[in-house]
Amino acid sequence: MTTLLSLKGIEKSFGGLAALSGISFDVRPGEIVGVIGPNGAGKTTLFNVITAVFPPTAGEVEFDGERISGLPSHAITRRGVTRTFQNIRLFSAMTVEENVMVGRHCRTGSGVWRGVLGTPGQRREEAGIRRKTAELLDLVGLSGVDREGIAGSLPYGHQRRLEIARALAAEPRLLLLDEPVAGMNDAETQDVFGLIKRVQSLGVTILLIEHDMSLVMKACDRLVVFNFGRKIAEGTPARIRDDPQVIEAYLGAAEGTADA
Amino acid sequence: MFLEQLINGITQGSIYAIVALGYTLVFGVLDIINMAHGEIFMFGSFVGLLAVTKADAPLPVAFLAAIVSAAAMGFLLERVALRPLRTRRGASHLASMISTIGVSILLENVAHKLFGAGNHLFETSFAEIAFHVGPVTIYLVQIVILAISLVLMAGLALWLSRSRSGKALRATAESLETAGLLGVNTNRMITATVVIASAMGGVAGVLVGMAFSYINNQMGLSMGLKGLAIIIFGGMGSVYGAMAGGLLLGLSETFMVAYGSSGYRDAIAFVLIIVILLLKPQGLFGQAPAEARR
Amino acid sequence: MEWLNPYHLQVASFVLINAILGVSIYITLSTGQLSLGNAGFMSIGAYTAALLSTQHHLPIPVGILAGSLLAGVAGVLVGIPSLRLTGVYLAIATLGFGEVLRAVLINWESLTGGAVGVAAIPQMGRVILAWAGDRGFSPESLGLQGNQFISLAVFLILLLSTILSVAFFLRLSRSRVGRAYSAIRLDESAAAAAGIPITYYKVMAFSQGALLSGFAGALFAHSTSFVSPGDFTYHRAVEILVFAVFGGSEHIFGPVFGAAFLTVMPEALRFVSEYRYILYGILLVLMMTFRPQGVIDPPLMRAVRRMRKGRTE
Repeated sequence: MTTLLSLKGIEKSFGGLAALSGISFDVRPGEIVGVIGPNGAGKTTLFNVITAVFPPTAGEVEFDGERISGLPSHAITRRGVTRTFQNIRLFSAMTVEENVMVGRHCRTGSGVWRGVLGTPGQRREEAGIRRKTAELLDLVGLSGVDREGIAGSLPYGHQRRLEIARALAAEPRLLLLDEPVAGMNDAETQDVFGLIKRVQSLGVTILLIEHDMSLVMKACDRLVVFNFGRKIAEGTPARIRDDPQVIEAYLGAAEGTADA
Repeated sequence: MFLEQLINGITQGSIYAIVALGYTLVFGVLDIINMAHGEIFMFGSFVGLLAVTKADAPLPVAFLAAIVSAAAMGFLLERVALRPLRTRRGASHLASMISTIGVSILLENVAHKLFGAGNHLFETSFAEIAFHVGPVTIYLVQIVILAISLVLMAGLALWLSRSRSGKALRATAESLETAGLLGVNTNRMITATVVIASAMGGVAGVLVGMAFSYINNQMGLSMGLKGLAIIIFGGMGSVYGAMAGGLLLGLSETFMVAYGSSGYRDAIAFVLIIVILLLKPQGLFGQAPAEARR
Repeated sequence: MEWLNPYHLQVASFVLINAILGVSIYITLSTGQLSLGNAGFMSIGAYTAALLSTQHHLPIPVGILAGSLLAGVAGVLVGIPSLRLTGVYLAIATLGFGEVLRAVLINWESLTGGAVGVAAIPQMGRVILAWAGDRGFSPESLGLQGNQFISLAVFLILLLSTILSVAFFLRLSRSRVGRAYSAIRLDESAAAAAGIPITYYKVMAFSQGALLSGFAGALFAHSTSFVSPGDFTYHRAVEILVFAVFGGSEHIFGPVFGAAFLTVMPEALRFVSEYRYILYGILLVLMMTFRPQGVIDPPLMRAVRRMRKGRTE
């Protein structure tokens, strides 16, 4: 399989407003592809279409050769696509550990009876979930955090990492990260960059929405540029940086957001 | 006979419509169901009764008394049970609804203590006036009820669309925050809404007494649940929906009693709810929920 | 044993049935669904058990099992269309369901006996007494009067039922399914994105709540010996809601505490009993303003756990 994710002519309108028009591009296994563009360009909407928060008005999403654009969210997660959210959607009243354990749901199978009776199989499974959770918290750099603390009381940066840990718990082949370093300083951003690279080295393909240009340029193998719901450019970071259309789209916002 | 049943149905339906308008007004603005609305209606009815029987007051005064007392109860409801929840962060719409359930239980049992169980006769000479058009007898009361409900609906619709305060109300309904930023005194708007809705409940209470001669303290519960059914059917927040739903329910109930099995009369309302929720959950005149919301 | 007062045992029995009902509304609440139809599901359990034992002379356990299962099935049938409803709409629709059911119970006289209800339902305590008597046992051998024995037997059966129900759902809440429930309640969209099939679990929780309500209803029928539509009105639905809202809607011990406290209080204080519903009303308003999650909430339970850990160390 040379293509992991294939977007074919994705259109999305809300009432009369066209949020996405004719979006088509591919993501290859092992890549980190960045989706960039001014605010309101439709980037998060694209993520929402891919993960079936809502269906596309037209067009198809193919993952690993299979059409996923009609499936419910959880089925898509099961097939190996998970995500984080632009404005962190942790289960804030649950503990740190529980948040990651929930992420593990689709890879485990104890139902009502096994859960209530506490069969040996179920207890083994729970122990396995806890082990995996510890590993993931370690991977995202939260090993020192109190696992039984309430997720909502974590500092902002930790919450973002926890969300990534939760998304990784489902063993995705494709991870969608929506502005993972929003609001972070340079040091934190560097940490997350390292995390993203570690995740890539584990064989996970990554689709990344970000405004932080330094991160985008360093981390991404390819970029897709959005403006007003359309794809206006696609290519390597170096090529994109010099693309006149891209520069024009960012005009007025360009120098301001680029930390580079 | 059919024509008389039709008129009965329209009368019943008009009263339902007035009650439903009260619900829809509060839901449209506050996004909550005021479960105490039915009890306020019932209290208004009893106040009107007391005015007529104990104080020997003429009908217009009884109306006034009912309106004022219902409005006062609405005012208290908003201040004590609703406003504190609005200022509290994280209080859900469900919490407000549960709070109004609390008020409704309170009112129902206070009424039980004050007025006792059983039916009370609501007698006015006005209710006797009738016209005979051929074989059909129409009571003046029935015409008055229909007229009042049409006036209220038209008035409400006009007020909401044309007047400055009505537009401020709609702005508050759309977005509390934005309306506040634009200079609307949202607290006052909300209080006014609940007060007006409750006053309408009071009016309906007196009308019921006039139309059916007997009132009891269980009316609030029954009317409350049916009013709810009507706005769910017609579309929560829709003035036309409240009218259409009210008339439909009134007519169906009357015909069910006249030509079908009277025992199932009270179930019609709930069957309506279930049917509409299966076919068009947002109600007949309701708007489909926005996809991108939340 | 004169202190074993049948009256006290009866109050305790009502506490237990109310506790099970409280847990039943809690289950659906734990997935974020407020269902006010549990009085309706309770009536399904009660009438099924009542009719199977009076008209078909089936043994009590069969009636209880059948009543619970039937209520559970009804829960699935109501739960599926209810998926498209949220919050307030769901609450009202389920209330409507309960009322329609009650209208059917009142009107389908040939089946249910109409407004008069079903009487002479085999009472659990009496049946056990008779069964034991046939084997030569007499309550006096335990130092008990006949009616004491009967009340005690019913109480013990209900106690066991309540403990089993609470234990079942407590363990469930700590398992994978329980985590799924909590996730759905906290953020449905994020839960779906995390891989949880929302529809499946919401309907499951709904039917579990219905089944539990039916179970309570069947036990109720076999405790009081008489059921009528008047036992399953909107007032009952609201009462169950108050138990959960007051006692605590975010932890399973909440409704148990609420049921116990609010059932015992009117018995303990005559004054309270007369103005019971007025106080319920005031209580609801105050709770929503000052402590909407109820008396018992997860932080409180965690603090209790920490205190107990501290003591044993």
